[in-house]
Amino acid sequence: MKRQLPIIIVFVTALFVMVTKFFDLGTFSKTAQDELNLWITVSSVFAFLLGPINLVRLHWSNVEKKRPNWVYSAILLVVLVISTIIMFVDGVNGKVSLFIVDKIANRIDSAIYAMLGFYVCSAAYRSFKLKNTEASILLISAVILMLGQAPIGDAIIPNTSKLAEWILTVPNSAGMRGIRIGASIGAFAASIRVILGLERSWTGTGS
Amino acid sequence: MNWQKLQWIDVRILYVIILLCLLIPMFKPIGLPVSISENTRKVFEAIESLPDGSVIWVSHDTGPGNAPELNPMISAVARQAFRKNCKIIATSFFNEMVGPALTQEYIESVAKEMGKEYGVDWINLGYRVNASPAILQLLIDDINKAMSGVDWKGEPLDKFPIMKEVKSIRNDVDLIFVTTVGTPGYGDWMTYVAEPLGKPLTGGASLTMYSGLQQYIRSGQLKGFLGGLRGAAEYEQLLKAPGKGLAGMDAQSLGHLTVIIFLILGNIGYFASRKKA
Repeated sequence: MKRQLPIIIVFVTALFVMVTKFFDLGTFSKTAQDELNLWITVSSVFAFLLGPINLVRLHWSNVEKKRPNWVYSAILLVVLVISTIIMFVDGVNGKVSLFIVDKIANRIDSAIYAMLGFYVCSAAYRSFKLKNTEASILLISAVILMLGQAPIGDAIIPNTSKLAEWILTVPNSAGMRGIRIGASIGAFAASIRVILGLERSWTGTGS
Repeated sequence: MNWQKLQWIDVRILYVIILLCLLIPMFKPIGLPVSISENTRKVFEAIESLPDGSVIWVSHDTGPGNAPELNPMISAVARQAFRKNCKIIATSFFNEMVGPALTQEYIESVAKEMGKEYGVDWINLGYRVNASPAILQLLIDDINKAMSGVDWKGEPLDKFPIMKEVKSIRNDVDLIFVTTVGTPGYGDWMTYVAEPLGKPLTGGASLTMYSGLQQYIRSGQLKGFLGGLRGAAEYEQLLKAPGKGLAGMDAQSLGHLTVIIFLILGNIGYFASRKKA
């Protein structure tokens, strides 16, 4: 039963969603969908608890066993506790809470993301070589797009931005369509397998 | 000269040059002209073609990493909307931590400048968990229910005049403008809201996502889209209201040029080493 019950729930729910979505059952369809949407929202709020619980368990264990770099885990736990207390006391939109979010977390996040720019530059310099036809196409497209995305491209070679736009809208668009159609068919097939109980690895009992 | 060495230049030199290229234009702008792409023009025209006083839904679905690219788009769309006396209903579904605060900051600054009042001309409804698909589908017919009856600061929606006029996306919203860095983003808005209701959908995306949405512009499902900081700069130019987008263009120009120069040097070194081998 432990294995079958989740599969039965998934099957019944999926069937119910499909019937209410694809068949016109009058106001019943609308009411059922709205109700299901509320259920999704409520249940996903509970799922949010799992994140902090797992985070604390993992980092507490790092600190307890003095694993390499355990100091970072200790810092994380202290910050987690302090910010949680502040958010509870001050409210999520309180002055102190917003200061933490905007002036500390936001800035750190932006700085880390900005640093990626430097790594991308260095990675491009070291790896973008005209080794073969494929690499050459990649490199030339990248250069055109880089020039096209900045005003200096048009200043050096007129109409570079138009060429960059053409690369984005025609060859790139064709490739992306193919990828998306393939991925969607794959997702559809995987969903059918889950609904029919052919794919059971998600129940934690093996496939 | 030993040309091979060109492929092994110390990356720290590259880092310093890039840093200087990004910093110098901020203090001494070059002011290179920005040409307007077709996609940006479509975004501008989609909003411009709305009747005065229309309602625009602006969802700033961004996180802190991409915010510098996308924030100027929010200022620009707010400016264009307020110029036409359009009303703005704002949400932010990607990142609870920064999205609503950034939305507030960027729309509020334009609103104050243009004499628009919070709760009358615009409102920030903030973040709700699990926006896609649940909240998006609920918003279609009942905004109040979907947003639990409160704005981003927890103030009851009933007290704001704008929410007496705008009850549902289906009946009261004329255009949807979405910034995108992931999920939820333009794809979710397109699938669950814009397509079923036949509402025009436009917006802007980080440059990394921009290449993946071109097919939707070609199919007409997106009424143009702004691509990264460049898109924001073009939009500002069309509005004749220079902002952070245009300010960042010189830095982007020099940064890209530096990378291209280093790519050329690296390849010269590579071919020199191959020739020797």
